[in-house]
Amino acid sequence: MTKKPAVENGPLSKPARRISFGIIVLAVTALTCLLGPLLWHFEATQIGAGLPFLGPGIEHPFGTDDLGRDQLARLMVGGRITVIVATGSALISILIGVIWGVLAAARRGWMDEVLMRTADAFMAIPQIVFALVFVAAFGSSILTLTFIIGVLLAPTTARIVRSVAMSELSADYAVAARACGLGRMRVMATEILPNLLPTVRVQATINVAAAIILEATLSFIGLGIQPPDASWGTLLLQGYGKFYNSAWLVLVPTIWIVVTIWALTATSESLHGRSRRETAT
Amino acid sequence: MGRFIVTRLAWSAMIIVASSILVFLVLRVLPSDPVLARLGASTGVDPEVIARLRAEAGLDDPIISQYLSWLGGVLHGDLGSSYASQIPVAQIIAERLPVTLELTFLAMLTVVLVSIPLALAAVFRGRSIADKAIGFLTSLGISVPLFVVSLILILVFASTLGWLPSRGYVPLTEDPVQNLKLMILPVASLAFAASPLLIRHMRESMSEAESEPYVRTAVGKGAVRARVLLQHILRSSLVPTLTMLGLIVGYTLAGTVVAEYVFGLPGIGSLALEAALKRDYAVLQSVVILIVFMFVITTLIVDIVNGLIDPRVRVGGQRD
Amino acid sequence: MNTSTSDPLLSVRDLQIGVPLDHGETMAVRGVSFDLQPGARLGLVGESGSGKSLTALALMRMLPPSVRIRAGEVMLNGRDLMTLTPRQMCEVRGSEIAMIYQNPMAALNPVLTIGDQLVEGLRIHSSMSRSTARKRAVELLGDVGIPDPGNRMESHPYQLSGGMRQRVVIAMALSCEPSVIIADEPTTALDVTTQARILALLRQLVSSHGTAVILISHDLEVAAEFCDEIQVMYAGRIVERSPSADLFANPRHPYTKALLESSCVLTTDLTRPIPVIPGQPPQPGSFPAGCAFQARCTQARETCIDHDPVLEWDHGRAVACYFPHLEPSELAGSVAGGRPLDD
Repeated sequence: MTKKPAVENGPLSKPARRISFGIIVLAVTALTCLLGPLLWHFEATQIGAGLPFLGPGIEHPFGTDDLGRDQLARLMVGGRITVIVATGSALISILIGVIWGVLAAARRGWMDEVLMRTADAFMAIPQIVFALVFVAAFGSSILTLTFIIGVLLAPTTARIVRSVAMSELSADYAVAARACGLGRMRVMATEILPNLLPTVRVQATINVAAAIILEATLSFIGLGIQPPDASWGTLLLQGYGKFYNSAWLVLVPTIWIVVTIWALTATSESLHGRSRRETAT
Repeated sequence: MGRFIVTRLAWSAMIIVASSILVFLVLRVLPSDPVLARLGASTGVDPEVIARLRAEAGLDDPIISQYLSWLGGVLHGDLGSSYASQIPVAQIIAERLPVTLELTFLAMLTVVLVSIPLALAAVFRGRSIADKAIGFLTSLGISVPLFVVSLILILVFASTLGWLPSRGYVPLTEDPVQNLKLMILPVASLAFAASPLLIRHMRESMSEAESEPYVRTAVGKGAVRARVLLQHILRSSLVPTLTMLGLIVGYTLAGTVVAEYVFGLPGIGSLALEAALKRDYAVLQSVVILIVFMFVITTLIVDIVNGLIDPRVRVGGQRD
Repeated sequence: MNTSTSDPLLSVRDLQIGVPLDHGETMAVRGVSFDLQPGARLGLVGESGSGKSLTALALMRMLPPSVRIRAGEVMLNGRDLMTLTPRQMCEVRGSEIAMIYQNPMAALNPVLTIGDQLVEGLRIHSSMSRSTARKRAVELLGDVGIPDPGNRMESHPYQLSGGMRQRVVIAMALSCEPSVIIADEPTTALDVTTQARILALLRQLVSSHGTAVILISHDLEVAAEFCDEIQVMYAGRIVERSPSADLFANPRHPYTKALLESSCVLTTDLTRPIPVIPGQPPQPGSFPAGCAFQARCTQARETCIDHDPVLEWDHGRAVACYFPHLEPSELAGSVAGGRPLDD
């Protein structure tokens, strides 16, 4: 019997299991960077811990730099700073963004206009360029940087939150709550905020990734984390200068940065798919 | 249509002004002092000297009058002078702008030429190997920051293989061949960084369009896949794609800061960076506003083109 | 099998369609077979989950990617559509078999003009020049009753009402003179007055073109108005087939009978409770073994739970039930519905 192209036999494909992989990578990275330095026997600032420009080996899994400092230690400490700045700024951006967006959606009228025009003005300035302005004005300590990046990421978050909040406001359950006499702000707080969670989850993940990219870029061009502190971006800058001596000084931070951001991107993409399915009836 | 254009023009002007106020505020309402930065010290300078320099630079006037006098200057083509070098800002910018324009233009061209075929290839046959591969590469591409891409390109093509020079610039008018040769790596890094964004966006909007009923109608008429894709799916994704393209121009403009720095191109991106490092607010302010201006104009053009393509944009018309 | 004087135009045999579940797949259409004569009007009626829409899409091979045809044969004009390559199927769609869709609001491309979309359909299946196609398109618009067709060609869909858009869709479907048109709930999204007008238009057009029609609907009345014969689907199977008048006068399958009894007409006695079929129709994945209607049937017996009734023909009517309703006049000398299978 000839096989008919339209008629198919055989098993169906299974849904991808990407999200757990991404979260595992993130958890491992975060834990390593936060707890690692306590457990690892080399210090990041320990000059001469080993011979300079060693490649990966048993003593030093990621090699050493020009001053003989252990790269694994530097990566973990640098990762700590990156993690702190990235999560801190993501939190700030979510906090500001949610309040901003919810206020605009709830109040409508002129306040909405003002808030959104301000957001537009912010977003008309490309992020790195605006970062330049902020850093030139306020400097680049870890705390300052966290705030700056948080503020930079807030307007986009606000726009997204506002648009979701507005569509939720016109959903049946919210209209029903209003019809019972509840004020708009009250409805927003009790009924709608919980329904914003899927959106906020996705946006938070995206923002952490964006924050890492921003911070690393700033550090690489010299406007971010200043010596003696070092984030992954700084490590890359220093490694770039010493490339001819040891390619590992560039390769290792690169891989860490890319893998971390990729894990975040993959997670955000599958969270996005999940939130879409959650809201679709 | 005319009304639409006028509305959008007015809106664009408003945004540019609002952004300039924002930048102005950040740079003036700040702890560190441009005069001190110019003098290169933070303590131990005679307070009278500081006071005199500040008065000269007009830093003691109320913010509003500072802004208005700056704005007045802009409209006359006077952007002030660099704190560091005393050269008129307008002159510095005029010298360096062509570099950035060339870089951005070539980068956007590459992005479009690379992204559209790849996105179409991905969507051509749903769930094909091409789709999965392109999806994977896109996801990966988005995760690699611009400066990392630049680094990798330099280390591979310049340092290791030695095929291309890693830094430098020669004006187009002087030596076109060398100019383009030096542009290859910077353009490539900007394009590699930006293309995944466009491809992902196109893939998403085209697969959404895929499930629209009118696509089913087209298939029901007997249209082959290529026709359905080009005439219907791509057509209706055109508006969001163009919008995204406009955003990517902004992204690329920001990217010139990094790319020009890494590849040693004397454009306005590297100018902004230098100004930020030197706390040269006069230059920084003007460069940033210029970048905003270019970005907003791009968005304006995109909106107008969208209005021409899709009648619903004109009719519905509102910004959100 | 059904005896007829001529060869059927369309012949479906044992169509089986699978839909995805969370884990694995389940059959949503379980062995549908029927014939369609040239120029005939056949109704396919059922509730959600019955598989009627899937059957229609399968005939055009336009099922969504996750839904697979697992078995079946569809003979149209002497060819089994299931054996065609995608390219060949593209040639068939629109020219031999065409479709009218449920939602006229969304069925037309919002960015293209009406004229462009009509011309596209015409030029896919012929070598007409653009200007010839445009002239033909204007004629078609006139045929479906669109006023001022010449100017309407430049309109965009959003400028037309729902009824007008559906007329355009009908014009597109007829434009290449297909032998079969599948109308999938063509009037569900329209208001009642427009409904009647569109159906009248469709009836007039198909009879003048000699096109056969398969009308999918959940509304028995609409189907009865329009079709010569009606097939009732339940849980992925055809449970009854009759000429419309007979179906209404003497429904044989308990499901059909219950459907008719539960619908209201002007003459319904409203002082008594309106009979309702208890429960919900089973969805793919939860079809019971045995007769699918057993849970809601007033006369289900052990046989029905253990065995699956098969469609059995008798004097131009078919029913799949062990205990079909038969009027006393029909009992004499007729064959009762399927006998229990021997184990």
